[in-house]
Amino acid sequence: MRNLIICGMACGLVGCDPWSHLPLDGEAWLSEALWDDAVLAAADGLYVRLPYAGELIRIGPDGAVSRVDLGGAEPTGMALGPDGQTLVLFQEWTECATEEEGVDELSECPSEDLVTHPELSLVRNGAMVGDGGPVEVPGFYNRLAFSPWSAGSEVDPVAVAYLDYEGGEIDVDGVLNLTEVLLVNLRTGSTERMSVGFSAGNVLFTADGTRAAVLSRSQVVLVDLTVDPYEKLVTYPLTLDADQEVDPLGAAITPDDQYLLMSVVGSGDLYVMDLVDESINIVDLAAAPAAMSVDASSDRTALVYANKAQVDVLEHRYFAVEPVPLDEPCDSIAELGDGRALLYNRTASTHDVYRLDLTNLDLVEYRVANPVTSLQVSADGNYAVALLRQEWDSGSTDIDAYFDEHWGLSILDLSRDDNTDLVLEAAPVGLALGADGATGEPYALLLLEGVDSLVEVGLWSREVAEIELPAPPTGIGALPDGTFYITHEAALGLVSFLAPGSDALTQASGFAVEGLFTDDSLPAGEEE
Amino acid sequence: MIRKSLCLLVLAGSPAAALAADREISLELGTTGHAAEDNWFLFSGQDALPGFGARLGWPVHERVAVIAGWQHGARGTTVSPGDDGAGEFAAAYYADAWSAGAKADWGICRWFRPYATVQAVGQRAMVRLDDDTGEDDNPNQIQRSDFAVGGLAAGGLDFRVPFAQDRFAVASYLELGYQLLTPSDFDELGSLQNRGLAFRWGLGFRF
Repeated sequence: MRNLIICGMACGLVGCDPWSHLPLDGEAWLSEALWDDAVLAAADGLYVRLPYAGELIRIGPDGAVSRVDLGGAEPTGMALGPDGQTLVLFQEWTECATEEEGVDELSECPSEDLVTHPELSLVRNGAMVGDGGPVEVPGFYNRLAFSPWSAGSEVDPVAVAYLDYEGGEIDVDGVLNLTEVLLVNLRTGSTERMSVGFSAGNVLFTADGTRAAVLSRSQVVLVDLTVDPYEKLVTYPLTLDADQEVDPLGAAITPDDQYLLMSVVGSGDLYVMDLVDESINIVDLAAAPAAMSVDASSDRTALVYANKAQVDVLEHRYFAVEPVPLDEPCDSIAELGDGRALLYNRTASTHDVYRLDLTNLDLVEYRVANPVTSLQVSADGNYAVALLRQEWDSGSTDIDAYFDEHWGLSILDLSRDDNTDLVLEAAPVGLALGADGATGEPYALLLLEGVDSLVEVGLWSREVAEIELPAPPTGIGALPDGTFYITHEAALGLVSFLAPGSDALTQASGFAVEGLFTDDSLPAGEEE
Repeated sequence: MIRKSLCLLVLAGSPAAALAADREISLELGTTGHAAEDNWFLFSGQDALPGFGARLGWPVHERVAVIAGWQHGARGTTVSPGDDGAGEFAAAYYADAWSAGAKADWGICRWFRPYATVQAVGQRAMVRLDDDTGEDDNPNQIQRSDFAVGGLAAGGLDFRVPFAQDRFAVASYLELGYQLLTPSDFDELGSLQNRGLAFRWGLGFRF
């Protein structure tokens, strides 16, 4: 017994916890992060890219982790299809096309003999699907647009891949064709390249998903999605002068699917393309709009301008424009979906948020404490929550100066026409809105930089509650079933799940170590 | 002092009187090479796992002894993944290897005996990963372990200073060989294989 006590005391002195005495005597660097916290929330769980290991994993709401077999390819980008179940995955694998003997690993391959094969594949329920497996595609596509989807639709959902050029290098392997987009049937996985004009930068779909409008430099192409293979229905030239370039800016399709509205860079011209009778009209606007929003309820479109304190309301029959003056310019529009829209400015140091009734043009002004960085509307449309940034105003004094120095959150009551501004401890890193299942009260879930707690703000009561987090958060989102997920600053991977109305977190941790000991071996060649 | 030096010279110059393999107890320091393992850099900037251990020997023949040993090694690093401040984590590797085999020596003289040895090796390796070493019980304290088997073939030089009419000697040895073990499977992390040059220096008694 005495020996046991002595041993216990000795153990206590030196520390029995092996985790506090790891034999760390050096440093190592990895070329990439173990996991990418830009996760995708699909119906069957969260999909997470592991850049260093070159793997894709799925995390179920219960924390169960499974690896998606990509046949040795590495995922490079992904997007969630409109059905909430199908992932469109950009992936690539590397081949060593060398004639040298004895090259068994990629690291042994001469760099000039390394050949990268970019592919596109579909993943559903944790496995690759599609008739032909992964399809080799040009590697420069970086954007996907998805057609609308409904369970009873007879038209297969479609994704259109295109390049949204934002500068930087594009790897050219042979010949690069910047006039093509790639259409992907999300049910069968079949793909089709289509030439649509130089530098396609935006793709819109009609509400019934039967047609796609691809906007490229100086032309718009309408594609029929109901036939196999897909066909170009009509090409709309945006200019008859070959020396003139017309670059689309913003675009929308009217609720009846008949008209495509398109603004262009550096001009106040609004192109109105009739998708049924194949004609183009041009409407003169005050300037190039910063944002436009089509409202199905009022059948009107709101347009705002970054440098002009005015909102224009466009009706869809004669395309007459009704201007409404504002106190401050706006560059963003949030749709409320009931004939009203919220107008705000995300870039300027303005403080106004406007609620506009698109039918009778009634305008309500909300004055928030600091400039808005983002804004979300609750599911019932009765509240909006705006995140406010710090500002430096030498003219501010007292409480205004105090608020200016802090980040903030403003709750806008869209039925009572008032707003409440709250001061935040740190910069927000995420905001999500939900509703209490029992009381129906909407609430905002807020994450703050470096703060290990989730802040819940009731939008009726303005009461604030906190839920302790296991690590500083980096983002928040929701699964299709309403379960919230929170990503954390944790090199080895950490995601918390929060069921709506609950204050108990469940966690998935350590998933980023999947495949940590990477295999550099070349894929085995096929035998003749 | 002069007398002691003379004694050593006499011992060194005398003919080999006791050539038989002896009983042995030694403590040792050494390294096991991991140069062939691509992922070893996660645990050490050097291509080897240094460690310490002990070895016992028992003669079964005039020049042959069976030997058994144990070696322990541990290494770790602080790993920085990516260049976008994705956070660091600690990676540590522990190995405990038990070996048994035969050693055959060649008694050139009383104080110097080259030898060769072949041993079977069993090793329990353990990996610990932790992305918040300041916390005692954070969620990401990950530990995986596995058992591997293999062998070691080495040659060595045994230097002795005999006492008590050669019934007892203080001995030191240098040993260099190659160790090859089966891969250790650390579940979802993947596998690591301990293989490469093995070097040991030991100090002990022969009797």
